[in-house]
Amino acid sequence: MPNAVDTGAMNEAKQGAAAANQNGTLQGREYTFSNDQDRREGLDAAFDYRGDLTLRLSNGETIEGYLFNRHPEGKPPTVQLFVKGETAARVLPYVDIAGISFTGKDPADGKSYLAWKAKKHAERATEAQQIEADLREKGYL
Amino acid sequence: MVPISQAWTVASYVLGQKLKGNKRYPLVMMLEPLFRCNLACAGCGKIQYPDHILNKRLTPEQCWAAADECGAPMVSIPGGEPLIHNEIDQIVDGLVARKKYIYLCTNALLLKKKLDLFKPSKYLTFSVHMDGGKADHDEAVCRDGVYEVALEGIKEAVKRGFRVTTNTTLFDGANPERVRAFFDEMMKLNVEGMMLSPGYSYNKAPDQEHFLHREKTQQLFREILKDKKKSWKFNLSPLFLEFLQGNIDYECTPWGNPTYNIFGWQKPCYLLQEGYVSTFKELIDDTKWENYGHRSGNEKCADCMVHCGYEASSVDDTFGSFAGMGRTIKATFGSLTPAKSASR
Repeated sequence: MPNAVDTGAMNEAKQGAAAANQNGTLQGREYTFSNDQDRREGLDAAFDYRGDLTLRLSNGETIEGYLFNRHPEGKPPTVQLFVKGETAARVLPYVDIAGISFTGKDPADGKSYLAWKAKKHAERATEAQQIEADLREKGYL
Repeated sequence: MVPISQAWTVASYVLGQKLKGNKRYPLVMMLEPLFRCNLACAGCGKIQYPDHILNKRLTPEQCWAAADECGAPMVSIPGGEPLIHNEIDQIVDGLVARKKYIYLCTNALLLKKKLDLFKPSKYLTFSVHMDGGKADHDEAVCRDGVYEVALEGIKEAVKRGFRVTTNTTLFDGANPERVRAFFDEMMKLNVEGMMLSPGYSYNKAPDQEHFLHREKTQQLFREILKDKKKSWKFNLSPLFLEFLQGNIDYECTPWGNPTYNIFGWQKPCYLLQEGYVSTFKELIDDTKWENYGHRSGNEKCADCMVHCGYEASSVDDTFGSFAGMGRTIKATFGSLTPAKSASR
């Protein structure tokens, strides 16, 4: 039976990621599953992750791709992923997956939006300074 | 207003479903032929994928097969930006041949350049993303100058005889007076109608601070739609507009706008991504629908009042009973009062 207490490596990894960066992204994290509960949580997190990741299989093989689906209630439970350069999706049983690394960039980290906000903020600050300088020149300030 | 032929098609389809006793039927299929976009809007959680996923495309044959399998009379094509798809004209042609009413949702950056690919048809509408006047829209799409380009695209498409609507998503901080002025501007462009929806709080969207909560949504739409001008035309069910203002309460119809994309049929709806299945039948039969909707207690649904969940509820109400038809007529020519409206 899976361990019902959430004390596995996945939980530690998620907490570490949340502490490490503002958006709680798992980018750059890697860990090995310690039990079924851990594997299930890890693959849930992988499903939620919008970047590529690397799965380490129990036979020593590694597969890098985008995990877009998982069937934890399937018999057997499986994941589906698109491997870069391949057209058809691959299906892997949960039991074959020993560990996971969030190797790809997280495109949902919000950085493009932060850059846009910074740009607009800078533009508005420049505009405000210009107005202030104009008013000073005219003797209104 | 939509053409009579479209209204008739939708009405007869819904009544047919009712007569057959189909409790769960699709109204608008959401077809996402790609996720690649040429914008990265603050409130969008749809396009954050690695490059090799953004480079994937549904083929025209896959799109047509999905539309046949689903059977909905209307197909909305969002994305990503559909006009980036090299075979978008073929996809549209095949859907027109199937007599599907298509809403091609575009930011219009490529519209003027790609209009030659399409022929005006009662089945094809360009639904142009416009989130407000120049300053508001450019802010929403996180790029300066987009409003002006979209405006040019709309003008050209209208001039060439295409059906054109605008598609506006509103977030916290929207200014009702500016939105009303924006409606005036859009109607001057001779668009067929305007679509309107509050944004959904995608957890992958870059801006997590400006999603509307339910009560705020109702207050905002009441302010925007008070003394609704006769010149404003909406491409929406009149009852959905009443719902947005809190004058009538509906439960979500998450199967009303089923979504198909490069991953398959998306569970459970256009907004939530809880997994994929390979057939439409599996989506309808195997999804635990009781887990979704405002009253389900699912926190992801708590504040959602989005068009793709509740327009189908409004349409179902219209054709579900004589009382529903009566409410629709009343809402078309005025407004429901909250005290008298039924909770559906």
